[in-house]
Amino acid sequence: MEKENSMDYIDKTRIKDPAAVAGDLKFMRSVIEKTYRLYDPRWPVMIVWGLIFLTGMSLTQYCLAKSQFKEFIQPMWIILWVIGAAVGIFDGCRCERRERKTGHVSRLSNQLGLIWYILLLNGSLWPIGPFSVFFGKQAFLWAAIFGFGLSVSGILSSREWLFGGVAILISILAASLIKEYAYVILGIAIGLGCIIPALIIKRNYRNQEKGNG
Amino acid sequence: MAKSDPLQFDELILSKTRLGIISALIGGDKLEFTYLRNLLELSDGNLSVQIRKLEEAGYIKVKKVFVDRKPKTFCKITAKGQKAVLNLISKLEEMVD
Repeated sequence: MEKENSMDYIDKTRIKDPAAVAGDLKFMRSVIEKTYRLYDPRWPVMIVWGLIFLTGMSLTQYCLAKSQFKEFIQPMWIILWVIGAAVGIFDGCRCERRERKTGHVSRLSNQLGLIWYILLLNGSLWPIGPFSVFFGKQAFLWAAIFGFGLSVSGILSSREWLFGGVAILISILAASLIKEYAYVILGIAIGLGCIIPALIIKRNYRNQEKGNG
Repeated sequence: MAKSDPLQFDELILSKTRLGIISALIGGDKLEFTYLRNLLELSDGNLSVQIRKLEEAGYIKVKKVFVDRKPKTFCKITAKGQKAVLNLISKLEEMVD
C-alpha cells in the first residue's frame, strides 16, 4: 500500500515525471476543497436575534410614544435578551455536538462564534458600571455591534452576512437623521439584516448538503 | 538531513497518503479518524500507521475524546505541518511551471 502510494517520481531534488506531480497536486487540491472552510453557518441563531430586534425595537418605539408603558421597556429587553442568549448557547452546544459526531470540527466556526461572544459581551457591558459614561442610545450601540459583527462574518465566511451588516451600518445614518423613528428604523434594519441573509444561507447550506449527500 | 536543505523535498510527506491527510487538515479543522478514512478512501490500518508517522514527526496532533460514550480520535495540523505542506506545494508548483 505504501509502495503504491509513494511519490517515487520525485527523488530528493528533482521531478522525474511532471505529469504525475500535476496529478498529485490535483488530488491535494480536491482534498483541500472538500474540507476547507466547511462549517455550519448557524443561521437559526441569527433568525432568532433578527426577530428579537425587529419586535423589541418596534415595541420600544411604541412604549416611548405611549408614556404610560415606558416602565415595560427594560423588563421586556431583559426577557428578550435571555431568550436570545439561551437560544445562542443551545445552538452553540448543538453545533459543537453535531460537529463532533460528524467528525469535522470547524476552526472557522469556532473563530466566528468567539467573535460574536466577545461582541455581545461588549454590548452587554457598555450600559453598566463605569462604561455607562460612554453609553448613549442602546439602539445605536446594538446596531453598530450587529453591523460590525455581520460584516466580519461576511468577510470571513458567507458574503450574504456582509450585505446585512452594511445595510445595518447605513441604517444608523438614516436613524440619526430621522430620530423620531430611530428605534423602528434600526429594528427593521437589524431584523431584516439578520433574517434575510440567514434564510439565503440556510437555502445554500441545504443545497450544498444535498449535493454532498 | 533532508529538511535542512531548501532544495530538497521533505521525504516524510512524499507519500500520497500522508500528503492527503495533511492536505485535509491544512485549513486548521479537527478531523476525526473515520471522517479522514472515508474522505481519503483508506483502510483503518493504513490510516493509523500514517497518522502515527505524522504525529511522531510533529506535523499533526492527535487527541482522543469521548463523544456519546464512544471514543473518537481527532487529528489537527501543527504549525510545523502547515509549513511543511506549503513548502512542498510551492516547490512542486515551481518545478512543474
